[in-house]
Amino acid sequence: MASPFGSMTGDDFIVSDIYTDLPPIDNQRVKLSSSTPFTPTYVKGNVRSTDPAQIYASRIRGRQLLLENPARESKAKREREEKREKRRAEKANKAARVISSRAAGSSGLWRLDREETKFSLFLPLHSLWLGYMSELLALPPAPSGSITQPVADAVPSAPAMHAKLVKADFHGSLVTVRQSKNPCLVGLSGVVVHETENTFKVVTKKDQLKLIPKQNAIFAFSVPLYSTNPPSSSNLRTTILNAPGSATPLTSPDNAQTVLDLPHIEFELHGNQFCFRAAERSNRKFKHKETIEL
Amino acid sequence: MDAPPPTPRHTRLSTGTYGPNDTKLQQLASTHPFTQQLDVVFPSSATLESVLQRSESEYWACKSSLSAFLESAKAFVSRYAMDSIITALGMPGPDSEDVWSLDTRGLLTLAVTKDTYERLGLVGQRMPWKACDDTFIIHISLHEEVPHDTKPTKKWHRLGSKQKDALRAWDARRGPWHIMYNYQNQAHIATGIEGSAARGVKPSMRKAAGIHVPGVRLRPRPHEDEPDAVDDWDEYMSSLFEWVGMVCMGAQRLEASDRADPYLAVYTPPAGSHVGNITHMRWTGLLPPAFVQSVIDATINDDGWHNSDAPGGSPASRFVAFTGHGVPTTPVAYLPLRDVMSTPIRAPRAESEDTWSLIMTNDREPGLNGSTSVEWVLAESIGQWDSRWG
Repeated sequence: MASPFGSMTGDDFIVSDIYTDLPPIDNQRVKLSSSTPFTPTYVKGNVRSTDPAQIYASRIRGRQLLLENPARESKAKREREEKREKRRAEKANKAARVISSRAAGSSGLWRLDREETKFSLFLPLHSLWLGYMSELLALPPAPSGSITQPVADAVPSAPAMHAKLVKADFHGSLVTVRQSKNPCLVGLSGVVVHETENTFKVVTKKDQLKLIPKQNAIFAFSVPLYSTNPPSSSNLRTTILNAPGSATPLTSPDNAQTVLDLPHIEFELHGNQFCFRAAERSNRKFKHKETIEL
Repeated sequence: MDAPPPTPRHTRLSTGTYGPNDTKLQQLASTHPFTQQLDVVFPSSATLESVLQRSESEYWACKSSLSAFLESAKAFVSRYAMDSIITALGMPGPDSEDVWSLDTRGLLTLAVTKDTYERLGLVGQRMPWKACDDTFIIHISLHEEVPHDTKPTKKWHRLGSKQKDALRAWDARRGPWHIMYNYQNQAHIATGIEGSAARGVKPSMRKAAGIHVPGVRLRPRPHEDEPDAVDDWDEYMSSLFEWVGMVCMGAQRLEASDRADPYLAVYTPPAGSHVGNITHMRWTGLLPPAFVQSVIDATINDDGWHNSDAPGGSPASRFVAFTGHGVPTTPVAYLPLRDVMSTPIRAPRAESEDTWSLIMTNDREPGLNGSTSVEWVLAESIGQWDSRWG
């Protein structure tokens, strides 16, 4: 039987155990030079093998020995780096005038007092939104005189509007809950004063502030059939720039009107598919969900 | 192909002796606000036939929106008491399974699907059974005031502006309803609501001669300590009610001369049967509870069924059987006597069952100044998804 320790005969016993220690350097003069370094010379001279050079080349040459733990970045330095990054991000946000939601909540940025919760106060916002929609959807100007055009011809291509509407901003729109798993929400209607990721905050006609979850609800909102912007939009811009502090007369002829008092197109909005922040929606690709059922 | 298994049924039997304190029999019809068919079977008796043939009823049918109908019907609902002269049913349409009922308490009960419930905006309760948990029940009281001190009434709406707006919006989406209604007391009501068509309900009579007529002997159910007696009693009652059902269907197996192939049908009449003549009378239509009760009372108070044409006028042949079939698509099928405020929830479907069958015998004891005791047994049968008995 072959033995890992070498061949064994009856008379002599040759030991070639690879785990045995190499013979110690005792009373020998060690000469070291760059052309004859110590380690290869010593290994090649003492390894009992048929090819000591090959042994050295394959098993020892080029190997790295870790003599102690590698140097680690100090904790203090790491904390300093993190603080620096944080300060940089805060500066960038400040420059972009972005405020965190926690800061907004604590400072009461979105809180409305009772005197401010008036439907009439948000009608100008609603009119602004109508103008925004008119521009976004490129609505045709209202025909002069009475409207004699049949309804079917007047309504533009609704599917073309869908792609723009899902990315639009809904602050100022008039939404109504058409269908909801919670029957108490059905019929609630108001102007959107704040849209978050999961809710619409609306002010109703009864001057009440209502928080409506988007989940498990289907909303209805309307856009005007004809543009509510004046025929010359450059005049409008001039008006705003010249009198920044004054209450700009808005596009609708009567500020007390809502979109429902004008010829309008009604859309349904499925809340379950719409649970995103307004800022994120602008460049989001909407994916199909399994069902539109509540 | 295996036939689907029959849907489970629940049957309950109760017995008693008719008397002045017997509220069960005196208010039997009032516990079933909507009856679509009433059958009366008795051994032929000319006097009883003439009495019952004079019993007629009437109901109305119209096509109207729910909100408009309620405006007219509110005049017949008591303002402050749980009472209503008018009862009505909204039948399901071809595109919708929503139904509603206005019962004798003046309570409008809607049974709507999930889609309608999510659009209606009125809070209701979901069916407790998983198989029909997409149906919701909504209660709306037409009274001026709703008593809120009881647990069931807290879930009731009052017909206010919000409810009216919700119903109007529903009508605009759905379209007109096919409505059937009647009045509890038709004595002073000559015409129905505008646009309605009156439909008279007259009895149809069928006489059958030479059929097996059971000898009816009604006794209270034996105690559970006598299992054999209990089994015999159960079997006898089962055969009795089977006989009543077969008479109502006009089964040929009851004929004494019937010689059906036993491979096709095997029928044994109840024990103690003899060959005789029977009369079967039927009323079909939306029958008010007051009318059904009047038929029962007229029969009890009349001597006609005491003197049957059976040979010898034996006491065993003096019986009469009433069978009432409730409307299957009504959300309210039963009003408990003890607590009329609570409404047992029930899934209104075309396959739903709500049937009661009452057999009465008049065991006149000879020589006791004509004193009689009317023994009765009542079988009530309900179908699946009915919480009447828990």
